[in-house]
Amino acid sequence: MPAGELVAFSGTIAHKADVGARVAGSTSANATEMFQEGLLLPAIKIVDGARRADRYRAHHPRQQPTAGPGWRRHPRPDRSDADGRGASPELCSRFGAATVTDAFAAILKGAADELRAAIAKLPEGEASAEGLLDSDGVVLDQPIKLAVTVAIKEWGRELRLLEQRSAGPRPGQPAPVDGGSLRVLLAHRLPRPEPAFQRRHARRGAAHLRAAHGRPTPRRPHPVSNYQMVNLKLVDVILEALAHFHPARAIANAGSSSALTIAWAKGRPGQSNMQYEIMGSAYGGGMGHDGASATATHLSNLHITPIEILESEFPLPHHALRPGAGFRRRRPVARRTEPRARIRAARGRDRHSPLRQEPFSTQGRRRGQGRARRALRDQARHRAGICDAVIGPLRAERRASASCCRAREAAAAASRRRATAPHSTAISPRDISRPRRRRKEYGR
Amino acid sequence: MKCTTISIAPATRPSSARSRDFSCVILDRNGRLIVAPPMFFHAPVYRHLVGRILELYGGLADGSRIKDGDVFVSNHPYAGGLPHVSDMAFVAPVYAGR
Repeated sequence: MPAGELVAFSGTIAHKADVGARVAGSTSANATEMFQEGLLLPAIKIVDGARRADRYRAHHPRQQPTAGPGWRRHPRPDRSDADGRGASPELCSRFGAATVTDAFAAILKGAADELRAAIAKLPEGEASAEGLLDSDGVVLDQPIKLAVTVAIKEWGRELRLLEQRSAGPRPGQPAPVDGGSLRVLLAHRLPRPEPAFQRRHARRGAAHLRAAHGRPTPRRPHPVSNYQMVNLKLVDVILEALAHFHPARAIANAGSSSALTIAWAKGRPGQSNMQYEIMGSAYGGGMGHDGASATATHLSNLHITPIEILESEFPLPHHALRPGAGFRRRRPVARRTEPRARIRAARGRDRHSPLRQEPFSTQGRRRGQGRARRALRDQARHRAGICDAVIGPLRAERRASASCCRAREAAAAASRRRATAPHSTAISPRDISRPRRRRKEYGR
Repeated sequence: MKCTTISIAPATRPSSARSRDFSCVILDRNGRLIVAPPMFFHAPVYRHLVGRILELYGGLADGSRIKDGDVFVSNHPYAGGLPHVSDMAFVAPVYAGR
């Protein structure tokens, strides 16, 4: 292989706490399209050659030795790693590029052979499973059915997803699922191969997932939050079908997850300014053994923050699993946080809020879109029992009689109450997730 | 492992320093994983992203606009295949003899 030829890529992915969404933490349960979740960057070249890379380093605050306490504790990385290229150039210079690429091919082939052997241990046949999503993220309270059939045929060669389709308000529309994620997750649940087996892309060469009806591809305008919900549920359904082939590795249903974001208006020196958590339960459960009571969901933090760390930052007098959690019950984790100072908390609306509505997109407002949005909102309010037709004239009368002066008086009274309130105020999970109030100030 | 250690060391965000919600990988020239990420759901992302980069920037053939020193970034769930918007991916090509 001649010098100067492309032999590899190095890559890294990191979860940013906030990329400029409409809510702190960027992942909003109320987002109905991904444009509400922050800055969106398609695959672009951010550094064009080393020349601009030097300029980038010079202006990037992270590259300054005094950027944070971490830089004082740890030595600055060497230049080659700062480039993000790792040790691959060094390997090429030591052994030759051809040797490195041959080693890459051997690694991939070995992993593929191991996966074929693992699939060959499964019995031949077909198995099906079904699951329901709460909604598609836009139209509420209309569940979407996910039906999956997994067939194992042609020993060691192919594992085929025969059917994956959604039904409900948008029949025939492919579920917004990334097929690549499913391949890896599926391979993760196959019979355990040799200890040296690693999850590499060679598995994709051995296990193919094919949808008989449409390609499982994400499609606009599905929100990313809903995309994760679909992934969670669809993976559950696939694993449920796979359990027929390998009962010993059957898992409990992942249930659902809950999210909590705590952000500080004023930064704390040396401390993070945001804590973002997605929690689930029952992970790892199977035949004869329970799963974890409270952990992170997949597609979020795989390594959940230990409770000791949470307690060191946020006093948690109560943190427990709700009874029955992990089996289709929402908000599996019950917790209560006591702030150390007077706080003002803005509670984000729950994803099941009846006020949720489809927002504008980058395409701009279309003719009739406002009317359609109002109709959706009114339908949701009616289902939740808070529309004027359900509540009756009392609510309408209150709304009509509320003047600006009265609103200001109420705000002033609330401010006086807060000024005389004790500093310690407890927030319960029920307060945080109650959907019918849009905003509440804590601290009487 | 070295890249992972270097990434953890200066991190102050809980998502990286404590939850370790990040990954560092080595891929072959087609974007296939050689070193698996600890965050297993990141695994398919790289292939999708590198495939997209090769498609956009001329692939591996002569005339490709990918060159040594380039760094690509994306967090787009559709255009880049990232799990969600919060996950920011960076990819850099590695050339022999450089």
